[in-house]
Amino acid sequence: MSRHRTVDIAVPNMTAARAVAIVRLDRTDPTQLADAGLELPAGELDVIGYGLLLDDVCSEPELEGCPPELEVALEPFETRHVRAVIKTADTKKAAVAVFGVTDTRDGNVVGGVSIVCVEPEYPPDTPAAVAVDPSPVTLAEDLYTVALGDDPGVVPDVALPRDQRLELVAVVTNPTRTDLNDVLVCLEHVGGVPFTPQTWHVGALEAGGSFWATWPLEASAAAPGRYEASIVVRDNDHEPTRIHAPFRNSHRGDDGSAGAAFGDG
Amino acid sequence: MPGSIKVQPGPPNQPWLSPSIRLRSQKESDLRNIGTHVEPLNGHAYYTYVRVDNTGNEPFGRCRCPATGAWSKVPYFVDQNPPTNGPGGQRLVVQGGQATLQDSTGVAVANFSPSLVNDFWAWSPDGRLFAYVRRDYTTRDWSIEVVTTATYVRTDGRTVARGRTVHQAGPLVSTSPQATAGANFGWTPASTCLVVAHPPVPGQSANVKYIDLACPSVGMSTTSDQCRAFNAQILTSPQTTGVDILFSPCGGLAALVPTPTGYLQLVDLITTAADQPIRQDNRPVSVTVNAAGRTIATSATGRRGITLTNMSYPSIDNPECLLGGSVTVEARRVFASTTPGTSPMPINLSPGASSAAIWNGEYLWVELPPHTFTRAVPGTSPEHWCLLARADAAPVDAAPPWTQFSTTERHFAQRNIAIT
Repeated sequence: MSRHRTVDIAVPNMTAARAVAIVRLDRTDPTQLADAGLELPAGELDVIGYGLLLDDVCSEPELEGCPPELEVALEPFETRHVRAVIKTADTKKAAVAVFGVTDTRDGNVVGGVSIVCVEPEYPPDTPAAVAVDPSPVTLAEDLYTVALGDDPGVVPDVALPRDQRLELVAVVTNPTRTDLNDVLVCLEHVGGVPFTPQTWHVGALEAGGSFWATWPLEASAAAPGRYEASIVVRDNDHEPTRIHAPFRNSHRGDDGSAGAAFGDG
Repeated sequence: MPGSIKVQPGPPNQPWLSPSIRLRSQKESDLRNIGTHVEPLNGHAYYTYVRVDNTGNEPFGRCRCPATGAWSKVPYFVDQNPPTNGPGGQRLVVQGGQATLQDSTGVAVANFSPSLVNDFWAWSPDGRLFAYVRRDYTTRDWSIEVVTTATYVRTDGRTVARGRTVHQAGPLVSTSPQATAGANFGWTPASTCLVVAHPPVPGQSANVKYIDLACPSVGMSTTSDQCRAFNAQILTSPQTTGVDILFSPCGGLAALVPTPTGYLQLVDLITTAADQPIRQDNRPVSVTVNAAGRTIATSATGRRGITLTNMSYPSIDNPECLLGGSVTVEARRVFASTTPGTSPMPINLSPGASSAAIWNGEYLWVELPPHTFTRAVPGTSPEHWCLLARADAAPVDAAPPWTQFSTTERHFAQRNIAIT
């Protein structure tokens, strides 16, 4: 029993001149990927054959006529597709075979693609890392928005209109009984809602102390709905830590009503 | 060396297989240690994490100025026999009815028409600016002109050439020849501001004083070399008999401190030349000065970093070191390609970007918003794709545009994925 593994690769020419790409498929030593951050098995996968196809010039199942190297002529701004086919023996053992596709033009390697054939399949899920010594800085309440420049400590009692320029407010607090030094708060993202990046140097945050961090938000540029923001907090004595917090992007009239709630809702 | 971005490429012979891009099906809370990369399943959402190293000597995200110390008044100009030798070998040569400002090589930078022997002048402490005060004892007129002695870049990005006039006032008539003196003018130690306390004009009420804070870093407009000035009108009363103007150690803020009581006012001298809102914990507050003997000191960065005495709040936020920039990280998904930077039809992995503050010598795994990985038509659409990442810290360490993507360029990285 055998298994065919195929990878379709674009070979583009985004210049106004004709080009010739020498595309080559080679098997490489898996140890060369030691720095690539892949968790690969130690066993070696039995490779029966391999080659490249351009415009279906060979018989795929048997890999007859599939060379490891192709000369691909490219018209200006043309993209052609090459298919790499690798035939491996079926196995139930953990094993790996690594291939490299290189694109050489005028004697220089201009790019490539790596192909990693692995048994069993790469895991679709692995556990999240456990944070060691995370910063205790936390959110005192749900995220909300205020009109740009308004007092961030006063939550609007009605939803703001869609054309209103807004600031996202995160009330960060020190819930411990000891003071924290050099506290920093950075908004990493708002789940795709555009915002103005900036880092708050909160500095010393005494036990129970709070700070109203704000970031200008282009809320009207994103669809109304529920998003998840990511806020990074750090202090002098702990590891930087990510806080995920829900955020509801809603404006007056989004749902046909006169107003909508802010925060998690 | 300032902050320097490094996104790790893959191994030397396969730089397009970067270990600095990982997909995760779960949220990661630790920024230094995350789970292993997973290959996405069609139709499922994944977080993209990009590891960004700062290999430079300065942090990304630092505040503008962390200096601390007591706020102080400006040293006044010397109006009797002012020095003709300035910083860096500059000179003012008065000869034949003309005063010429020369650089260290004797080349003329600017010319002034002196009145009589009563004019005076002063270089800014950094030598970048020169102020010439024309004082006419006969007409009682005075005027001031500030010129640049070196090319510099303003906060708004405009480059102001050497020898340009950036501020001028007058001629204005004063109540007496002696009304215009060195004590009416001063440069801040950080060279961020010229203080001009207008001599009184005939008929002016004794209860009104006019003070200009001319800010070389702030332009009138992006098309003008003229700098903006904050114009203060001081009204005295039985409660407020005068105002002291104190400057922060960084020189980016001025405080108008009423004597003996009244409301404290801050002025931004770097970006707006306008009122700087006073805040505590980033919430607006109004500070009243309670008694004479009040002091202001920058004691720390950030929140409550300015210490006040004899005022209604003991501390307020330090706006000169409260906000910093960040590194922006973006990722794109494109067709698997031998040269993905030029691959057609890039698909944005996320509509927005993520940001991070990364200290020198450290790395962080930056999270991008979750994205649903789909093959448009499973079975026919490509299974294999490339993830591209770009980290940018403009203006400190700007990344090339996406069109110049390269796996060997340190702001970029690439990782192949298969959507199954």
